[in-house]
Amino acid sequence: MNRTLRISGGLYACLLATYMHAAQLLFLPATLVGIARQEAWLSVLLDAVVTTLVGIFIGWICLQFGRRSAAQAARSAMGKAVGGLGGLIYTTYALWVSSLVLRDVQEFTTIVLLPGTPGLVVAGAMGAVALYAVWSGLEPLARIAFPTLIGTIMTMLILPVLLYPEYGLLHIDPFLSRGIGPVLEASLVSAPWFGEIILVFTLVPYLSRPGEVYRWTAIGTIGAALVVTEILVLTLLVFGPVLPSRMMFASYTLLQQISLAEIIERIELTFVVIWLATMFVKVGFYLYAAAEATTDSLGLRSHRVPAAVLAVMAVALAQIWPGVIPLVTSAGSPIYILVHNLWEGGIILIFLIAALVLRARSRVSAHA
Amino acid sequence: MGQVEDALRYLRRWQSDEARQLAETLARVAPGGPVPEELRLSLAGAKRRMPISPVLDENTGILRLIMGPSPDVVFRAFEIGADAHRGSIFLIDNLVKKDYIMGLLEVLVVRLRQEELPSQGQALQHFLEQRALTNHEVNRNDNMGELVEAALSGDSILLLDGLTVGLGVSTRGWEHRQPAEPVAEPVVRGPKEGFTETLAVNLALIRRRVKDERLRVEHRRIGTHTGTDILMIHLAGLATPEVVAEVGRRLDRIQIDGVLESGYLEELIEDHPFSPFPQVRATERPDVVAADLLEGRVAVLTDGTPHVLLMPHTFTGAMQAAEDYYQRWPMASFLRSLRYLFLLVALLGPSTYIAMTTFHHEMIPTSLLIGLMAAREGVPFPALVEALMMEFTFEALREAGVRLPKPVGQAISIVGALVIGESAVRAGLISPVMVIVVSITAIASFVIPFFSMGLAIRLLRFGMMLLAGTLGFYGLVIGLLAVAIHLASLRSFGVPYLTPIMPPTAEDMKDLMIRAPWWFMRRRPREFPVGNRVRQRQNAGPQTPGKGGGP
Repeated sequence: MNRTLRISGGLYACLLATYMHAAQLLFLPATLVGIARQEAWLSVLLDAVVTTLVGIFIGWICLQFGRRSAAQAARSAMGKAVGGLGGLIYTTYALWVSSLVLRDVQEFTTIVLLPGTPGLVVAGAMGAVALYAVWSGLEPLARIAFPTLIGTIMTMLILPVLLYPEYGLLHIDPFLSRGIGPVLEASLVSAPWFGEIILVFTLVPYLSRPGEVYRWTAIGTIGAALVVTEILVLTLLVFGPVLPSRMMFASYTLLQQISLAEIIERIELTFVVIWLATMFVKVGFYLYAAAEATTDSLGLRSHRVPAAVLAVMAVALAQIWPGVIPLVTSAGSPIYILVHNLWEGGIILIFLIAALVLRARSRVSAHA
Repeated sequence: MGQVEDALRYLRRWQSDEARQLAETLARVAPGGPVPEELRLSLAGAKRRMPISPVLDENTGILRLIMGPSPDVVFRAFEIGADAHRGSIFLIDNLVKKDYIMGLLEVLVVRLRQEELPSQGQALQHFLEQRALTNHEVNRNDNMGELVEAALSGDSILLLDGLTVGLGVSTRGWEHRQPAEPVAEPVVRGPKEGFTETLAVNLALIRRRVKDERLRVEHRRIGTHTGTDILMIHLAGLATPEVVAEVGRRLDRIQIDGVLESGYLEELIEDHPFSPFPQVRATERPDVVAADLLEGRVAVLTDGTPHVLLMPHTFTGAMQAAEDYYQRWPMASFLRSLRYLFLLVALLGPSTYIAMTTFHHEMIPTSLLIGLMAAREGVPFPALVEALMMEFTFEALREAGVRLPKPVGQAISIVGALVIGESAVRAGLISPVMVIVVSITAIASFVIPFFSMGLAIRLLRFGMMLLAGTLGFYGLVIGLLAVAIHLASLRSFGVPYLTPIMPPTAEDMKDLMIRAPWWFMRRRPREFPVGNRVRQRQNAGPQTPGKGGGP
């Protein structure tokens, strides 16, 4: 683990935006449209505003730690046992999400791309390459995030043009006919997904100019939200407010609609390649975060062995989780949302306490 | 046996325990009998500690023992000056130029025959250096080790009675190839000169192009047995001092018995020895070396090979050909973009075909799919096996074509094209589409200008084919991500391998897929933090005359 590594603000935002939007893109549209109908995109924007503020707050916490990781700081502020436990809670969160993402990839691939292929092979292949990325360090991951995000941006620029013949403007009409209630409800459903902003705890210590953390966090978060918003709007424009909620992969079905002049068609796999790359960046980064937090919480020297163990665990857990339909259905359940938000909020709270303790200590030593 | 007695006298004069032991062993050699090889090796091992004796015969005696009975080792005795001062020239035949030796002997024997030479050693040395050998480059050698190494490099060693140094006179000259157009890097427009196997010629070829006193040349000798001369070259003020120092350190760390080609050094100094990607560039073109020196890189020249190493080296550098900068920029940009496109074809051509025909039929338009399936009808192998067979056969044909003499190589090409291609299709072993795919891939792999990069891509292609054959497009994505992560983690002497793509450097993008006009490339690449980044003045573009103005 190269602690002296520094990544630029741009790469920080790229990585943040990539890991934030990756899974949302495929799974969120169906759930959100089911609740908020034609205003589903508003819920994402609402979440984006809240998440940006949370991200800025996390940035402030990280600045109190200096160049230390959050797990290191927690250990230093609250002692080896309590602080270490705090770090391990962060590890379990990152591991849990990475295994969920692997499951998502596994489900999508075995349903759409490779029917009949054992899911373990699909998740194992991505887990192995993600482990290689984690062993190579954060820098290669951040660098891969850049072209991946460029690919996503290009897609977002081209898609409205390619799908233009399929638009039905009446699909998004009327606006807010059921009031703001469904939008707020949908934003609660997507809140756990946006709660993944807490992973910036891993990123901020590597930022070359820590003072710019607020700006780049805001850019990354809003960038991710804009990508999801555009997909939601396009899904609504093409399918209307009813069909998407009955689709397994609404955005993939959206891509399948591309048929321009009967020449540009059947190109959905091209976009899937970019999406798979973003999912890979997400799995790799979460595994990195988990491995780093484990190393720091347990006071280990190298992150290689923990990373390998965590990668195996993530692939194994991905086999345990239920399939895509239960996953999407449970994503809207109040218990899921509550547990998820409590977990994310708890992690922020743990590290906030660590930051306040360290701040108090530094003030006392300054007075002394 | 005169040489043994002379050597014994030498060893007894050299006051040390080591000399005493060697002398005792030498004394046991039967008169007229053969000198044991072990003793010769012991003497050779001690040569760097052996001083030069003031007695000529003792020096020649010990040198004869060290060098062994080789027919090309020459000791030419003579007398110089009015008092017939005894001397000898020690040289290795065929490493020296005969004309130089004739000139040297003429000076010593003819011109100095009436001269009263100083009797004191220091004065005699001064006389020879300052008055007699003024036409020659002269180096002092203070021990037998230096003296032997100088002789093996082509110097003629002048030994005189009363002199406790050996004067190495530069008489290097041997048969060597003249600079010719590099076979592996030909150009339509551009210089046709290439490096040769002779270090001095190669250095001169660079000097001719970079007439700058800031061109720094550091000499090293690497290889305990080969003693290969290595030159490290950079332009002071442009090359980063850290990179220069790092290259020097890595060269100094090398402890090897021999360096016969620059490939030895490349493997010994690169950052990631297990990577298939070349992290040091090898070129036979002096203009490429000059251009890279001007961009702040370091060049390493190795005696005995025309391949000069350049570092740091990046992925994008491997996609740049010398001619890109000699052709006009629109054409150069088009060709370079084409190269990147065909790089993808070389890496992913067969694997994409395998993935599409095996797993993702829905991507292929129906009419084309029917055609493809009809062509594959009767082929007993899956697309993966079919592609692997063709690719392996092609690689074998290419390898055979390279190794065989030219006329036979042509015959192999005909066999490959007709027998393997046409007959295999007729026999129903492979489909015609696969022949097309493999042919296009083969052409694509030749489009990559840097041969080592082409090799890396060829190697990775097989992995991609296996992944595509087992996991379709998903496997391709996994393979590409693994390659991308690998490339992103590589560094060449501290410079990220994927620069200026990752990390992105906007300013260097003008020499990436598009080669911007020369007048637009005002600054040197940012990838190397060079001292002076300005390449040319502002507004250096061509100025067209105004209305009514100009000739």
